[in-house]
Amino acid sequence: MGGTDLEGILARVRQGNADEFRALVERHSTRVFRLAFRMTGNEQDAEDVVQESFLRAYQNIDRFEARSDFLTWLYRIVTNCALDFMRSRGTRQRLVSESEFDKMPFSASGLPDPEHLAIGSEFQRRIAFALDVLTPMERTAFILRHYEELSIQEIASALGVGNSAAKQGIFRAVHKLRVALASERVKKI
Amino acid sequence: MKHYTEDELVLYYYGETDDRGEITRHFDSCAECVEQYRAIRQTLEIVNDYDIPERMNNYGSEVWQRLRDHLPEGGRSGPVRLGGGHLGILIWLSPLLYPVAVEALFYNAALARQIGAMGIVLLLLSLFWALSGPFFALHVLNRLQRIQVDAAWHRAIVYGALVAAVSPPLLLLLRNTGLGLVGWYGAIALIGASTLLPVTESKNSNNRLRRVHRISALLIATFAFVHIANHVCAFINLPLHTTVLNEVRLAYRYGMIEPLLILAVAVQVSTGGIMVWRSLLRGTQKSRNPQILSGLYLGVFFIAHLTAVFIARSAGVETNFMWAAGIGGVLADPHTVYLLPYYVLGVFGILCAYWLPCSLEFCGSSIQGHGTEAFLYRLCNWRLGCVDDRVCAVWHACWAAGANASGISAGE
Repeated sequence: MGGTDLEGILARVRQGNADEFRALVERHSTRVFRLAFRMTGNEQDAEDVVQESFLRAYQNIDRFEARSDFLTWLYRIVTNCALDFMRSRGTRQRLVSESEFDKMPFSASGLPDPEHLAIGSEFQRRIAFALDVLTPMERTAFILRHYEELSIQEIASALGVGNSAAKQGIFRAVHKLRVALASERVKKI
Repeated sequence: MKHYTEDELVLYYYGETDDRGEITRHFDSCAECVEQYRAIRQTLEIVNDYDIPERMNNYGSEVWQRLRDHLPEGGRSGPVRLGGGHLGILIWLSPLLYPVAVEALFYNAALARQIGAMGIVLLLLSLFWALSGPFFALHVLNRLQRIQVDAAWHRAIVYGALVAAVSPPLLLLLRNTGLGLVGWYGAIALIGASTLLPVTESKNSNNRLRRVHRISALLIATFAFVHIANHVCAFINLPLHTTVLNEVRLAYRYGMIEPLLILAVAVQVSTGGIMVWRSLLRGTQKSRNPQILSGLYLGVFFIAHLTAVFIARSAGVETNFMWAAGIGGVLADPHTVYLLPYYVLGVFGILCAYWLPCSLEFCGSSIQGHGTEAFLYRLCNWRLGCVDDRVCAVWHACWAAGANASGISAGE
């Protein structure tokens, strides 16, 4: 979608033509879902965040400034929305408890266990647990940098913080992930 | 040899460092940094394998279908326009010109007595003008779709609407406390200036406050029912009103009853004020606007009324119907003419214009839950049998109004 297209759509949405918003929803839904899922770690919660995010984006479309990137602006809404969602549910429910994590077959020996390595879901749960260790700020900054490939400046803008705070969030996230996934790393070597 | 830190290597991995060439060259001669970097890269590659549930190609259309029904009617939270003008600016004219509207009411009443029909038309027009503030405020807040006080222009509109809505009791309060028009315009200026102060969204829940608020409302309602009924008597038979008043006073001025009522009013005002403010900070939906405005009006009304009553009592003035309405009626005196919009909006305006839409909403949603509204709703259904929901809603509105618009002169 070119800049002119986007401007045209935004202008028509601002004039009250809600159907014009459809193009933006259809274009960005999948990326928004991916971000929401990575933040919430739960498919149903992610769907709720997608819906609420687009609703907020529509209600606040007048606040979007043409000089900004629409996707970055949308990501800001999605991250706020996901954070609100997680806060409203209290501490995010961990996908894997610490005791479960310790009992997982990968950890003790450091050697690959072919039987369990084949079970992709176990591996996924370990990554989910590792991401769960991060604070909401660290998790968001890391997801935006690592998966969505936003620049530090864009992340800072999306999170409404300074570049330095965005960087620190990523650094802390990577450090915690290294600790949490140390045994996995050993197996990969 | 200088080694690179973990943070520097993370930036290198993401291509966010200016020293990229220098770090690459450094790797040729530093096994320690190479090992450190390899560990970082492996960790981040592991995380890459985190799967996301697949979405079909038409996922965007599915989201749109779900979303479309939830998009608010009539646009979003942009600048509020009416015929090219900004309602956000116009709303401030309402409180600014409110004293003029009341003065016009007084002079047109005199004119009506002199010239008849034409004067009556002018009197009615000025009455509509004086009563228009809360309705105008409601219209403006509804146009905002969603209140968001983190934007200065939004705050300007919201604060303007709130002042417009409470103009009658606020002006009366300032007059009664001797501040008069200077105090009035000073208050408007202060509120206007406060729109420049940033505020943050509220995350606090109103659940506990709401419970206390409702209990105090029921206490006040008990008194208000008798009080309003007695005021109706005054229009039919003044001596009867006086007789009933004297009898009722014996009851509510007995022992701790009056302090308890005053405490209930204080609780009602404070909890209501906090809930209104939190609702605004949270970005309330427009269905709550009638409740916010009517609640705020009542809060200021209670304060103004109790202040007037206690000032009068301390001066040894009898706070009866004649004190409230003036000897020749409220329109006969420029000092009592302020009472007309104040009372009309305090009683009929709240009952008919504010609580009815609120109650219709309750009947549709939260009424199905617990608490006072649910109890009243069930009571309405029991009383009215199988009549349709809309009649129930009107009936419920009267109960809700009775419970919440009570204490119209708790201190009399």
